[in-house]
Amino acid sequence: MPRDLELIRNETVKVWKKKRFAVILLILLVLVPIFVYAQMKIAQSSQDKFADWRAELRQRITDNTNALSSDRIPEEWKKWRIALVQQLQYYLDRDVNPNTPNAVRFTNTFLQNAVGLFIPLMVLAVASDIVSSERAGGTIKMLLTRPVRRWRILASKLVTLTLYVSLILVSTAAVSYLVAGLVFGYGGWAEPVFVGFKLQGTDLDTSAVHAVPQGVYMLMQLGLVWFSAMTVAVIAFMVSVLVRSTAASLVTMMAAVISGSILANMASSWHSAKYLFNVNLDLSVYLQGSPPPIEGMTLAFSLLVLGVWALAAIVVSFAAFTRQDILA
Amino acid sequence: MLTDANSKAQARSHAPAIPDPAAPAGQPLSDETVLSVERLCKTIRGRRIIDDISFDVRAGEVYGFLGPNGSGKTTTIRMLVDLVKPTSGRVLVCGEDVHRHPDRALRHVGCIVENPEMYGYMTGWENLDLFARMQEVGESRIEEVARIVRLDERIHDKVKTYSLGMRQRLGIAQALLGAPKLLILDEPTNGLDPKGIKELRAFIRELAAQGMSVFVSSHLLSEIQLLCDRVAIIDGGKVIATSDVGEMLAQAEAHTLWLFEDPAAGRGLLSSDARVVVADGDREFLDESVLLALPGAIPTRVRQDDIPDVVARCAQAGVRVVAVQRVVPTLESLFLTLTGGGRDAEGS
Repeated sequence: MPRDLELIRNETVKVWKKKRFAVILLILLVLVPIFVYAQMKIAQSSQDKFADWRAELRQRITDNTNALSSDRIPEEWKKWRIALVQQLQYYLDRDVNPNTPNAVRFTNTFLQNAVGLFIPLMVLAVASDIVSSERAGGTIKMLLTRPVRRWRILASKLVTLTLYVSLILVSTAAVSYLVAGLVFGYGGWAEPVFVGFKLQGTDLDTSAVHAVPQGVYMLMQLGLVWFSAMTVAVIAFMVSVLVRSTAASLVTMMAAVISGSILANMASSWHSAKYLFNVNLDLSVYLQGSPPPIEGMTLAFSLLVLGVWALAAIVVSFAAFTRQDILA
Repeated sequence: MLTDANSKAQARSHAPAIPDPAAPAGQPLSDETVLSVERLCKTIRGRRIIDDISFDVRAGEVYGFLGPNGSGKTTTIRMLVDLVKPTSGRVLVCGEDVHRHPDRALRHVGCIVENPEMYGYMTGWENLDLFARMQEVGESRIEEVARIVRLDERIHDKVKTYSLGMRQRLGIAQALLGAPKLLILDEPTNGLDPKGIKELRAFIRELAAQGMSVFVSSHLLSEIQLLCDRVAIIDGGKVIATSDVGEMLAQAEAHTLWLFEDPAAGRGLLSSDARVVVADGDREFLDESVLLALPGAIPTRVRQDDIPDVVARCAQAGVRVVAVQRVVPTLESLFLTLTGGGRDAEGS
């Protein structure tokens, strides 16, 4: 056991010294301020237009209701709007502002938008490289000729990957909270968010709705984002074991993730697409109570699909890594 | 009358056939078998790459693994250290099966397979530290091996700034970390300059003298001759002979090159001598750098004992001899002797 800790330490050091995490942090520090600035502009313009938030909310409800009567918008968009209108109405009825600008709110919105593409891409920067770079660089020959069984080496890499995925998520949340706080203030932890909206056909079932503090909502969201990021990471890990070149494994995974977000927007009539891992990545839709990309998908279903994919990827990774011949 | 054995072209790739003080002396070997390869086979996509290879390496000996490029040397070496799983057969290191218990068997092995590839973005020390942690080796041992390979001055520089020779030394330091009983080096002199090659040879002999077994692959016969006690010769995935290096060389015919002031007269004289066989056809088996050093030399086959008499006869006949040189058989000519001579492989 102490030797396993040494192995994990080794792998962590390698990723760290390769400055992978430093690059990710740098990307965050450049991008997050841009989004914060954009959010600030939105807040300013609505402040100019509306006397208070209730007027703004009413305007949004009216706009979306009007859009519903148009024939030109597709059916699934309509469903999404219906859900939105009813949710906004729910907030209005209870006199709760769903859009108070503060750092916690910004962080939640940012995570919600980042779960589909931005976070998977950052995770891939580590995951696609962690095994294939050893093969491309030839260092795998040194690594596998030491008196340690292959599965232990791979396990140490998997643990290291898990550590870095968690670190990336925490840093994403931390950077967006800290940067947004400069503009919007650091409060908002206790503000209520309503969760538990259920869509029944075109009706929103509000029987299970309850309020949770925004801080708790952030933790719930982080948990879901972590699960989907880990699934992407583990599948990329498998590709990294199977493919020798880092570039090839990175491109394969990026294609998979991006095609997932495209499919999620168009596959509503292709029902079996819901078994693909890449349309299930956006777990935060369930938290928001928005309609899922494909009918019949629920939080439990998505967790199960992602879990099965991740498990299969781990099994394939270990089976391949412990057996493969290192010929070149 | 032999030409200077230390002429540059010669020292680089060819050693004289006369006894060389630097050549391995027959030191006492213990009977303990450190590496035992038993009927190893490897089939890749229906093609038999390695075909029934067996040999043993004893404690404290330098064992040569000689074969042309593409003969299966590297695949065999990869099987010795569990990078490639054999289709059948087994490899035992100190009695432990490498493929069943790599964690136990590889404890006794240090190796460099092909190029010594390390993490370029880390320092030499950090690299050694990584590998030390994998096998419960302390910091003092890292210091020790860095000193042994004389890398202690640059050990805290990034590996990407190292020269090829320094990387090779770092690779050896890594291989020595766990104080192995068996050191496996795959074409270790590749890319080293003549001085580096000489140092490496002395270093390997020293390790063997301390009781370590060293397994060295090469495609150069002269390399094996200068370094090894015993040798296995591999061609086309099969071991065609295993033997004592001295015995093997005795079997292969050495050539003698003659350079005369008057080549035509000299050739006439040699052709008329019953003890000498002029072998112009063997020119292709001789090392080009040797031929370059003696342009116009006549290749012959003649027993070493007869050379003084032949030279004396030339002198009597007034044919002035410029140079006479014995050259080691090349791998190609050795193969011809071993396979063409109908000799059975001892190893299988």
